[in-house]
Formats: sequence, structure tokens, C-alpha cells
Amino acid sequence: MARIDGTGSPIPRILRAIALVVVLVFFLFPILWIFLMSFQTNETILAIPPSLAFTPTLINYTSLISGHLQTAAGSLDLPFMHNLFNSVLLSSVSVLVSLVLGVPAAYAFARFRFRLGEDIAFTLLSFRFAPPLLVLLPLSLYFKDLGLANTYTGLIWVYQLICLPLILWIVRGYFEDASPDVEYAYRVDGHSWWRAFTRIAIPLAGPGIAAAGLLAFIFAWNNFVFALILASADKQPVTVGALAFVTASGIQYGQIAAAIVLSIMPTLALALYAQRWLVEGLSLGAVKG
Amino acid sequence: MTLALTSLSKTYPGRHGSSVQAVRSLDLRMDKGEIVALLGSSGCGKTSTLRMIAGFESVTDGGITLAGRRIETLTPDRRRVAMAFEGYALYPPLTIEENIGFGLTARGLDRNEAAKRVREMADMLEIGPILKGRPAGLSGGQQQRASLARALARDADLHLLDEPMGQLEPQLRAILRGRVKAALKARGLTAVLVTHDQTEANAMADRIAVMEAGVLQQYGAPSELRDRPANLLVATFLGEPPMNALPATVEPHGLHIDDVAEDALALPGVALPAVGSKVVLGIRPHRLHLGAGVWRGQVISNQWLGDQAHVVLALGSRIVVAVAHQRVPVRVGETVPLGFGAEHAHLFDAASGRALAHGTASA
Amino acid sequence: MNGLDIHGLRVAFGRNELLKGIDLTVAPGETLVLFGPSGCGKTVLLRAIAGLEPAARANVRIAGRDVSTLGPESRGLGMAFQNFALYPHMTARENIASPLQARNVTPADIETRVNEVAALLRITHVLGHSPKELSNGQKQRTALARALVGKPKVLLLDDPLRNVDAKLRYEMRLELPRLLRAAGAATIYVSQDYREAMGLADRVAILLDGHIAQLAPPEEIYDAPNSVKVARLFGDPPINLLPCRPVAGPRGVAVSAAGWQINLAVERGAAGRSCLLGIRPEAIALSQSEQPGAARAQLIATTPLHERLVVLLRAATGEEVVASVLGAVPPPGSAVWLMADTTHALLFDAESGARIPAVAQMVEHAA
Repeated sequence: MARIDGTGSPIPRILRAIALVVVLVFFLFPILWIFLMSFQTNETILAIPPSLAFTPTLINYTSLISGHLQTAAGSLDLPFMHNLFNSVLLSSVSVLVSLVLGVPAAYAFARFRFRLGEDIAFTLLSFRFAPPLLVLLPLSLYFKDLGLANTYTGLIWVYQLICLPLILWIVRGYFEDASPDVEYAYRVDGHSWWRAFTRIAIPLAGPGIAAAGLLAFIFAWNNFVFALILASADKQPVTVGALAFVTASGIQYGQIAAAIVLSIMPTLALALYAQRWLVEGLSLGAVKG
Repeated sequence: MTLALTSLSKTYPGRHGSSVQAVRSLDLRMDKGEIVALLGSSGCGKTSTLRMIAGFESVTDGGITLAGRRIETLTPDRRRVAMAFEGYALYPPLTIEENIGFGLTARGLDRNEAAKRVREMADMLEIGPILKGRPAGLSGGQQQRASLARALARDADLHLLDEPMGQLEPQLRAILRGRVKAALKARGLTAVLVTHDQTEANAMADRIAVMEAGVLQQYGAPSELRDRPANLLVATFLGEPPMNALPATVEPHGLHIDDVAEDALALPGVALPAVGSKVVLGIRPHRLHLGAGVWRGQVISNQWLGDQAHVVLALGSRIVVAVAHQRVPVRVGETVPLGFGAEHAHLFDAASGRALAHGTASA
Repeated sequence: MNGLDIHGLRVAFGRNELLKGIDLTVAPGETLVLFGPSGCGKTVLLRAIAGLEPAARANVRIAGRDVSTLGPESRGLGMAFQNFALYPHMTARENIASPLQARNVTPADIETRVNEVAALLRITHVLGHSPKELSNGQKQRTALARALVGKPKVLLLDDPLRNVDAKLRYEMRLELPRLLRAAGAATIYVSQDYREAMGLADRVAILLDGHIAQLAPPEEIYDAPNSVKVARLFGDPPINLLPCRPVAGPRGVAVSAAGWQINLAVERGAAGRSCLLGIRPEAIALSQSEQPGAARAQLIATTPLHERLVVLLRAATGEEVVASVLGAVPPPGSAVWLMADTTHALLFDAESGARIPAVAQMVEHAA
């Protein structure tokens, strides 16, 4: 009988390698292309046929960072760096608020059975099901009345719709996964419930909390619709800010590409740094949550 | 010969390019109609071995022959093995009856015949009342018996039983061991039993393979393992209470037990190694007799367990256990003479643990 | 009362009342083994005593002080869990020190106390390890050390030897009585192993169907269980229970079961009722030749159990009988004769399961 293992025929291994390359090209090519575009001027980008041989230029980046764009139609002010700052501010504060609210809530849902507990947890999750446009119109009216329109506070509040359910459900899975006996043992040792929560429960769910926080950050960062409707230019994050490159005189592909590269940098760096937790945390959350 | 494992090895890739050898070059042969137990503590490689035989785990190296066929590259469904899973693995949407009967009719057994087989299994394993129930509503013990029934109902070349009684109440376990063994024997079935419970292995197996750290330590009949253990590990792993093991030194006139201020023991019939050798003297607790002998021990505790007495004694700085099958009239704190027959002594090399000699009763 | 005093302890989950009014008293230095089938509520009872079970209603006194309304951190007890419940992100030393840290003991005193208890449990060499670097035996010793370090008045040990292998379990079974005696606490020890219970207990409480079914020294539970259920729980292999219908006999009743004719010195009220005759497997001997009073049977299977052989037999009258014997037995299929030592034979009412009490004046004869 033929044996199929590492020492056998090399054909399956070669086929596997080819398949892997095809998949990688399919997923990574657009990213590579954007990266290359960000070092080109609009003229070379739009040249037909496209060429890989070009003189790299940093003009796109300098114009983004300096905030001035020279086009054929004249000079344009670009608030891109301010957009980037908005993105950082909105995403990180939203995630922090979500963690402060969501982690204790997740613990409560995991540890205690109370009236309507499951219903409340599900309702919170259902915020993720509703199409954002459905809630946006009424929200924008309320926000005007409440004076929250075009404020950071208002946006951070709305961003909870994105972050809170995510953190709640992933972290809850983590808490459920840990045996309550460990916390019980700590209580019996003579420690208060608050210390058992902060010294035992939270450290043990640490990887899950980190993963959930990271994922929430990425989701918040990539959000477009909420900020588009509820914020004007000075509060808009990069996702909305990028629209400015669609100008009357044409689309500034080079700047868009550079903006995309700059805007995915923070999330990419974070994701790479925390890759291990992310995978571990998400897979556990998926099983348990 | 029905099952032959030849130089079977399993290596798992570990972190940072290292690897873990779960099973190391295992050779094992078993005959048709035989029950063999793979016995060892958790992580000894017994479950990896079972999973390789079943086909759930690829073989790193070596071969598996079952009923004359090489099976190590076949998919599990083509190996003609039946398995009772430690985690039950019952089909949740089916009733217990359907769970047991499913594999029978799927393999072409006639409906009446299958129904009869299901009833037999249900009677044997006392799951008649829950046949119409579904797995979700049952206790762990009931699910485990259903899983065992499903595996035993089939006619396969080999039955693999992974900790098949771990979740059962102790009262039921004692009875079912006997019944399952009798049923396997009556149908001439061949079975591999994986267990960490030496009582279960002893009760059910014709031969036991003791594994530790992926290496087969000894393979033989329970009586052989008990009377002629190949090393100290096998000697102390089997038997409850475990064998008394006393470090000793060989002297010209016999054996001097370390830390026990007594004269050297002459052990007639036991071939002692060279003078000065460091050895371990092993004596099974029920071979240690109270009331007469060369040693004086102080009683630390005397427990009557209903059908046997366990007496713990301090012998110099060593602790030994003696078992008697009737009550022993000694009190805690009392000093009593104790001894053993040289024919029941076992000697092991202190460094390697390898058996050096066994008393004549073991011959 | 100085030890542990529990009165009217009830636990109900919705309509399902798991514990239906438990009263227990454990003296300082006493070890009470709580024994029962899985799912009977042993762990819940321990949790209720510790204050960890919100559904519990109970009056709990520790050393005379009513702790019923206090949280688990204020009851001053030590507890060891079945799954060890060590803090995975702390070293063994920090684990053991935890109860002392909760009480503002000075670091120097903590150091001394932890070292003392670690030496007692022989884990000094692994104090710097984290739980995942410990073997199962070391984990279990660390968990015990943590329960003992605060010198609690009450110790709750939830089957602490369940998850360690046979050899370690046996070693600890030998060591525990000494440790518990030294600790001097009122100890409740949950176990599922009747040998462990017999080895460790001063008294055994059998928990069945939400009640304490019997509370007695272990030998009394073994020799005189007050019901069929209790009798079945103690003994491996379990007691034989043979259906019978006794008739009035010379000094009690006469029973015919599995081919035996047995006179039992029990109350005559049992005559004519449907009963179960209880005979321990070790009270049955096998013979290959016919003996007076012996019952005919066929040998079905033999399974070794430690130094004994457990023999499954089918009596000529149809009943399945289990014997536990020393020495060799004939091969399966052989015809054998069974002799029963009826000194400790028990008679139970088949319907209620209660043991038929012995006739008072006959007790001396039996002994």
C-alpha cells in the first residue's frame, strides 16, 4: 500500500504551495497596489497601460501632512491630520468607555442568573443587527435637540453601539470559561468580592479583554456612516475625511492611497502586535459566546 | 494475531520548533479475542495510541496491522473498528435506542436483528428505561453507558474503549466490568481498553500494557505485572495500596535497609547483586505480616475498611503499609514485630529502577 | 458548641429543593465525611456553609458565633476544592499566602507561616513555581496548604483527592489524618470513595435525596446501614440484594433466597412481607463440591480487584450474585456451591428500603 506522508511524493506539497500563493496574491495584491499608488502621482497612476516602473514620490504624504494639496484646479486645504487625530481620539475613548461599562456587565451576565438577564444581553447584541441607517435619522434629530450633534461626546456615545456589544459578548465567553471556584477560593481566603473581581476574574480574562478591546478599536476606527451623518468636518475621522479627495477637478488617487496607508497603520500595528491574543480571544469567544 | 503495532511513534510539533514525542516506537501484538488494557497516568501516550489505531490521529512513524490489513493510512470509517469515546460522542438528535442501532442498520444488519442487539446491550448496561430518551437529558454516567452500548453492539475487527467507565457510579462500575468482559468473551471480540484506573485494567484485561512518557514499560498478564514487575514504576503503579519500597544497600550477609537500624536481612532464594550496590526492596502490603518477624514498627494508623485492614507503621524513618483481610488488634502508638517471606521480595536497581530479582513466589 | 453547627440548612433552585433541612454538628478536631452519590448536593452543602451559595437558607454557627448573614470572606473558614482552584497567575507561595494577606499579617509572619505549612505538606521546593508548573499531586498539596495556613476553625474539603492518581491518593489518605489532627479544626470532608471515607472519618454523614440518611461511625454504616440505598453506597463490589419473602422462624425470621435457607434474628414483623436480603460479597465463599447449606450457582465471570477476585455468579434459582474471594476460582462456566457467612446478613423491607431491626436480645448472640 502506498504511504502518504512527509517522505512520500512531493506533488501534494507543491500543489499546496501553489494554492497558498494564489490565495495570498488574491488577498494581498490590493493592499500592495494601494501601497504602490501612494508613492505615485495621479498621472502615473492613470497611465495606460499601468506600469510598475515609476519614480517614487513622497508628494502625496507631504501634502497630507502639511495639509495643502496642489491640484490642476488650484490649492486645496486638507484637514487630514486632524481627521487622523479625530479617529484616534474617538476610537480609543469609545473603547475605554466600553471596557469600563462592558467588562463588569459581561462579568454579571456570566456569573449571575437574574431576571431578564438573557434578554438584556441579547438586546445589547441586537444593536449590531440593526442597519446603522435605521437609527441614524431619529438619532440625528435627538442629537440636535440635546445639543450633542457635532460633539465628540455625542459620537463616542453612538460608537458604543459598535464597541459595547462586541466587548460584552467576547468577554462574557471568557468569564464563563473560567471556573468560578477560583474566585470562590479567593473569597473564602478572606478577600472582598471587589478584590476577587479585580485580582482574580479580570487578570484571568485578560487575553479576552485585550482581544475584545482591540477588535472594538478596529471596528470603531473603520466606522463611516455614524460620523458622516452626525459630525461636521472638524470632528470627522479619516474614513469620512478621505471623501475630500474626491474633488471637483477629479479624484486624487495618489492622496487617497497615501491616506489609506496612513489610516490603516495604527490598526495594523496594533493587530500585528496583539495577533496571538486576537486569535486566541476570538476563537474562544466564538465557541463560548 | 489480530492487531500489531510496529515501531509506532507519534510526534506533535511543539512551540518554537520543538516537538513532543507522545508515543515512542511502540511494539504491541494482540490476539483475536483478547482484551488488552493500555494503562498509564495522563500524558503517558495511551490516548494518542488509541487515536492512531482509530484513525483520528496520523501516524508519525511505524505501522498498524489489523486482521491482516495495513490500516495506518486508511480513513477511520474503513478500518472496521468500533469505539466508545471518553466524551460519549452520542448523536444529540437521536434517541439512545437510535444511537445504538444506527451503526448496525447502516452496516446492513437486518432491522429485527439490530433491535435484538440493542435490547441485549440495554439489558447488560442497564439503560433499558432510557432507550427512548435523548442524550441531552441524561446524566454523564447514562450517556457513557449508551456510548459503550453503541460500540459494543457493533461487530468490528477491533473495539476501542476509551475510559469507558470513568463516569459511572462506583457501585455500577464493579458489576459492569464483569458483565462487559463476559460479553466480549462470549462473542469472541477483540478489545483495547484505555484507562488510568489500574483496578479497571486488572479487572477486565487479559494483558496490560503499562505506558509512561510515551514508552511501553511492560506488557503482560495482570499476574505477571503483579508478581514480576519489570521496574519500580510498574511495581508501584499497580496494586492498591501501592508496593512498599525501601531503599537498601547490599552487604556481605544480606540486605541492609537504609535508615532502619536493623541487622542485615538474609533473603534466601533471592539473587543479590554485588556487595555495595544500592537497591530498592519492594514488598506488597498484603505480604507484610504483623505479629512476627525481624522488624519492629510503630503503628501510625489502623484503618478497617469493611473487608480489609490497612495498618500504617513507622519503620525507622520509613513508612510502610500492611494489609490484612481480617481486623488487626493493634493500637496506634504500639510497637509490633513485622516481617515478610523472602519469597515475596522484589529487588530493583536504585538508580534505573530496573528489576534485579524477584522472590521465588514470583517464579 | 465550639466547632461547626448547622441548623435547618435548605437550598432550593426554583421549585427543585436540593437540600431539605440539614442539621449537622462537627466538633473541633473531628473529621466528618460527607458521602453520597454524585449530584446529591454535597458540594452545594459545602458552598452553603462557606456562604458561597446565594440560594441557601441556613443557620450556621462557627465556634459559637452566628455567621449565617456574613459573606464568605468573614466566616473564617478554610476550603479546598475538587479542581484545586489555584490562582493560575500567582506562584504557589502567593497562593498559600492569600488567606494571610487578606488579614493584614505582616510580611515576615506570612513568610514564616507559609514556610511552616509548606514543610508540613512537603512542597517547600516548589513554592516558587506557578500552578501550571506543578504536578497534580503538588497542586493538591498547595490547595490544602492554602486551606490550612490561616488555622481556620472550620475546614471544608471538597473531594480533594478526586483528581490525583491512585498512588498519590493513597499517600495522602495516610497523611491526612495526621494533618487534620494537627489542624484541630472541625472538618467536613466530601468523598465519593467509601474506602477513603472509612479511612478518614470519625463519623460519616450519608446525604441522600436532600436529607442526611444516616450519621454514624464508618464501621456502623458498613455493618448496619439503615436502608438499602445506604447499604449499596458502602462496599466495593456492592452488597448483594436478593428478593425474598421471609416467614416467621425460631428466633426471628427464616429467609429463602438464591438457594440459601437462612435464619435471621430480626423482628418477626417482616414475616410475609416482600424483603431484600443483603449479603456482602466478601461474606460469600465458593466451593467446587457440595457443602451443607450451600447454594448451587454457575460462575459467569471473574474480575480481579486488588488482592481479591470479584466473581459474578448466576444462582440456580436465577439471581445474579457477586462474591469477593481470596485465592483461585474455577473457570467461567463452572458449577460451584456458594456458602454464605450470615453473621452480618441484613434484611430490608423491599418497599420502603428500611432495614428490619435486629431483635434486641439476639444482638449478643450475633456478636
